[in-house]
Amino acid sequence: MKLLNKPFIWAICYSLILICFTSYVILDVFVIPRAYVIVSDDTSSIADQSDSSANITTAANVTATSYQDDNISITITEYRKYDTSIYVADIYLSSIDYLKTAFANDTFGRNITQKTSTIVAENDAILAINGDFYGAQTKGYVIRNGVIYRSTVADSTNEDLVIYEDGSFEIITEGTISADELLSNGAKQVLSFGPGLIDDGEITVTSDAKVDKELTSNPRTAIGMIDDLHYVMIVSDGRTTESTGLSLYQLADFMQSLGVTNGYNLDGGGSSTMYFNGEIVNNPTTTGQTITERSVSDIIYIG
Amino acid sequence: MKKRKILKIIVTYLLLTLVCLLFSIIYEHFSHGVYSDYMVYMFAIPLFGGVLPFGVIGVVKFLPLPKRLVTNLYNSGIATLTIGSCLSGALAIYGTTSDLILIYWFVGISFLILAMMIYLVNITRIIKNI
Repeated sequence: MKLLNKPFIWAICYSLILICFTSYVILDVFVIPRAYVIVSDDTSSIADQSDSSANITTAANVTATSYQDDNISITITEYRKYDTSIYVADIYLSSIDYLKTAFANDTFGRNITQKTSTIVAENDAILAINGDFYGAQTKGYVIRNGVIYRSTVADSTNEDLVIYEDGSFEIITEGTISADELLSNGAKQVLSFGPGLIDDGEITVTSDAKVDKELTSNPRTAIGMIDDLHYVMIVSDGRTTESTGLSLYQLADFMQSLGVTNGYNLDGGGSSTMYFNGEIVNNPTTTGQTITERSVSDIIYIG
Repeated sequence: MKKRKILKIIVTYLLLTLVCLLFSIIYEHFSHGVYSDYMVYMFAIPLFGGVLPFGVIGVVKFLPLPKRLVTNLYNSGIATLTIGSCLSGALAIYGTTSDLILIYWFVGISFLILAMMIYLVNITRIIKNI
């Protein structure tokens, strides 16, 4: 006790404890990989089985901006709006089984990340965008390809995107329904980032509303449904001299102009990446200085 | 003697407030428009938790100078809460969370309560002696 009463001894000891603990917290959040579930062949076979039940495809017709076979039709279009380049993948599918998700390293966990293009290569995807970066959160529903990986509520007002087995989209709040109920209702994919942008054709974010997620212009990633088995994946550039980026309202407004009935915001900023046919379509950047892909937890893909 | 020591503590807390303010301004400048109240208002912890109470002790004559154990506990509490707030803000801006952050709030507030309890006991003893 007398030692601790001496000048600076306490301060030095406690500062060291604080520094060590803070270093551990930073490493735990950003560096130390923790694998919770490795996606088994049994799990992935669910998607494979559905593939085999689908029609056998003939040779695909592929160009730099389009892909077409018997079951999948994709057209990539670049728009210029709000002083920003926006890339839209217009997608028609014969079955929702062609809209899939994948984890980095096929592993559900924290600090397990890979670049979108790397995950794409491992899953033979034709088109892909980054997902919800579930690994940055410790809570929030994660259901992928019909399997519950996380069922804890992030926030009772947190909006999730539910993609059902029939191909329909719904935006739900986590406090109103459990992950188990969603699965029994036929949820195939549940993404937890948000907010929802468009619900039943109506924009659900306002230009001045205080939402937790960014209101300012940034690179964005979103997914939306236009009609039965007709979807759009949208990625915008941002943080560069060529493109300022989009606010959530601008993104929602743009999606509405495309005819989206249900639209959802995914992880944006440096994570925003669209991949098509062996190429990165957009200009992903975290700082705005260099164009480079960020490693992410998961992707949504067509394949 | 009391005034000089209190003044030293207040100046230290004022400097800490300025450092926190400067740090949050720089951090928010590079956060691409993503704000966190934990980062923005981090400076309030040393300001209202340090400058204000020690200022009151300096102004009110019958309040004694806290003993070293009390100042050690109290300063550690403020330091813990300030770092906890800074880290909470940084994680929120990045878009992530950690349950470990709760430890900062728990330890910081516990230290403050403990320090204030010891200080109150000291004051009570002094009043009884009078």
